[in-house]
Amino acid sequence: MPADGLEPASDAALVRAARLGDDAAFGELVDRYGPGMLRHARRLVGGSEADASEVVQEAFISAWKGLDGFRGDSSLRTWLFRLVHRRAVDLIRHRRPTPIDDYLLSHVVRVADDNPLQDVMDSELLEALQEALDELPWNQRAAWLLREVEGLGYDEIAHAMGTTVGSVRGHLHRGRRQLAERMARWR
Amino acid sequence: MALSPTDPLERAVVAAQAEAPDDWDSVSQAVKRRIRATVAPSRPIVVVAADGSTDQDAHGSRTYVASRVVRAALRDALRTRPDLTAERIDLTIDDERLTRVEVDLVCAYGTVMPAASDVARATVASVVADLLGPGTQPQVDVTVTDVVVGDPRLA
Repeated sequence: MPADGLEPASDAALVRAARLGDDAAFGELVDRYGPGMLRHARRLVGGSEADASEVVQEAFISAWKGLDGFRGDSSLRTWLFRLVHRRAVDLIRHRRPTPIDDYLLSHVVRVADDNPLQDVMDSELLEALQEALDELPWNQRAAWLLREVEGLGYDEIAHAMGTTVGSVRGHLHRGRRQLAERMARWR
Repeated sequence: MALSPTDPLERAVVAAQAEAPDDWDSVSQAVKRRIRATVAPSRPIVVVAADGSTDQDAHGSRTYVASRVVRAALRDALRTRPDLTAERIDLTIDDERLTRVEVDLVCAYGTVMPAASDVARATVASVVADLLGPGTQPQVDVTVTDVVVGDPRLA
């Protein structure tokens, strides 16, 4: 996959092949959605690269083993975010909180060559965002990240978090308000 | 012209959306390594000669092929044409012999279904004979479960 090396295969085609044990097809899905999942996981678990990596790896292992259970009720991307959410919840429940290393946050953003000043500002802004996110209740943090950073719809967020659209609206409303207050000093 | 957001939260969102995790390659490799190491369930299938014998020599030696290997070979063989691909392949093994192969097919819109089924059946028979010997002649049931626009290997 892809068969002719030209046109990228659809999610459905890759899932079909992966269900038959084609690990190369599954690898394409990993590279298609993994970077976004890793970015999301990192923000969700407090900025730790190691924790985010573990969450994403476990999410993909769950996906590989559970592909037969993916019925297409949601998009594949939403289903994968749901697995990230579950694995992150597992990790937070079973592990004591660990302090956030400032260094880990400082190099999360890939540095662009043409505007170093903007990069520094972005990096500091993201550090402040992470601190503000860490103070949010879990569901507010997750809902806000899925909506604002990953661009999921309300129903997709509800599916990913295993909750209702009404709850998502509530989490987002409260999360946005708290984050706006926290970030106001950056005006 | 797009304006840069002035609200700090909006600016943070834009920066967060632009993040490209610089350790993705190592995470990707770790995931793929673990996937490859995940062993799918498999059963041994005995190789059968044209005369129906499973003995490979005078001592009664036998050759087995893992069902995982057979399934993968069938999957690949059923993916060489732009008009059909497999969606499900189930093997029935009785007393170590492959007795039945069930294939669910996805075909391209416009494909003549009986002809596609015949192609799939012939492909299965060929692969099975290559891997499990000419004496292995399972029943092959084909079901067309979906039709898609374009090449089903990609669509």
